Amino acid sequence: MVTKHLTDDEVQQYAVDKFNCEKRIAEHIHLCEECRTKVEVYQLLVKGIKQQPQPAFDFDLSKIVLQQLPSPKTTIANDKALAWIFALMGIAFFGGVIYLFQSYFDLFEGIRTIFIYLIAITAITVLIYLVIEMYKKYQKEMKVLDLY
Amino acid sequence: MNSNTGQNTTDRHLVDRVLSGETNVFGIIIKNTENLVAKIIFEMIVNDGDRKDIAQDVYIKVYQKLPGFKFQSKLSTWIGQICYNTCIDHLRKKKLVLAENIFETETDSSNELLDMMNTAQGNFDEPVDTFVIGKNISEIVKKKIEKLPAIYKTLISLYHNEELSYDEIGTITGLPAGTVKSYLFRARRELKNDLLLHYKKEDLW
Repeated sequence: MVTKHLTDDEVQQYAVDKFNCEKRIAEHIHLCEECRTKVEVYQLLVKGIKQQPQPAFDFDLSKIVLQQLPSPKTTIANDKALAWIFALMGIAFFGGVIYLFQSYFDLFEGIRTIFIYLIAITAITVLIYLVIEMYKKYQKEMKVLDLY
Repeated sequence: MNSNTGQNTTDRHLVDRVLSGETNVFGIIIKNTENLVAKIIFEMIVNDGDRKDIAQDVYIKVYQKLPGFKFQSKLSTWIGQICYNTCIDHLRKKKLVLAENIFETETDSSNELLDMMNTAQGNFDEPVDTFVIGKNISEIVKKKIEKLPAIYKTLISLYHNEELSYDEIGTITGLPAGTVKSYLFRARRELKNDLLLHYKKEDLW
């Protein structure tokens, strides 16, 4: 025996998504003609909403936007070339230093080999770190410049 | 769940290609999400010229922000969010009303409506659909939707036409899912009331 009608929210819930509705609501609607009529009104409304024409732009949005973007980059190839140039310059620099200042290396004769290695490894690590940081900064700035 | 994972993989693939310098791939992203963007813009912005500018603005922003996209939602949802915010900014600039308080003072005409429906029930044994034969329900509903505030039109369109979940709509609009649900119920109720008044006027019932 139906003693109380469904609320508007319950009616809507059934009209919009009856398969995920509480059993109580479905049973009430099955028995109650008044609530069933309300459901039918909502179903009609939803049908009307779904029949609305899909809005679309009357211009080629993709084309217009792509024209405004920076042209395809060849940065990867450029970046690799740049890395090789830096590496070669580094090797040439160290080669030059060793060749020109050979006499100064006699100063290290008194120092144990292990210390020389430690100093060299530390210097190279710091150098690599600085180069990477500089390169990252360079890439970031280039990106900003590309967009504006 | 699987489709979401698949979507995410596709999104990631497309984003990675754009970020690696294949600018043209951004065109695929535009094509994939253009319908959603159009829905939001058409519901929120009235002026045609503004719509064109905003659509371009949205995708330029998307391109600029793409390196920061964390794949915490679908790419389309994220783009929808940017689109919605861009529309909001535009409306604010133009000082246009986003959501009037038409639902704050809900006219409790439910008794009146109930009477109308009872009358209908008494007069007709056929289902409601039968009464709109010869009448273009789509046209009638369209006019009613146009009267709704921008945010409610957008929610209706995203839920019923784009078939997004409450959570997805919440992500786009920045509203909690519960609020989205509540607004949708109110918007449909308002449309229904308006629709019934229309039928009364047209002596359909």
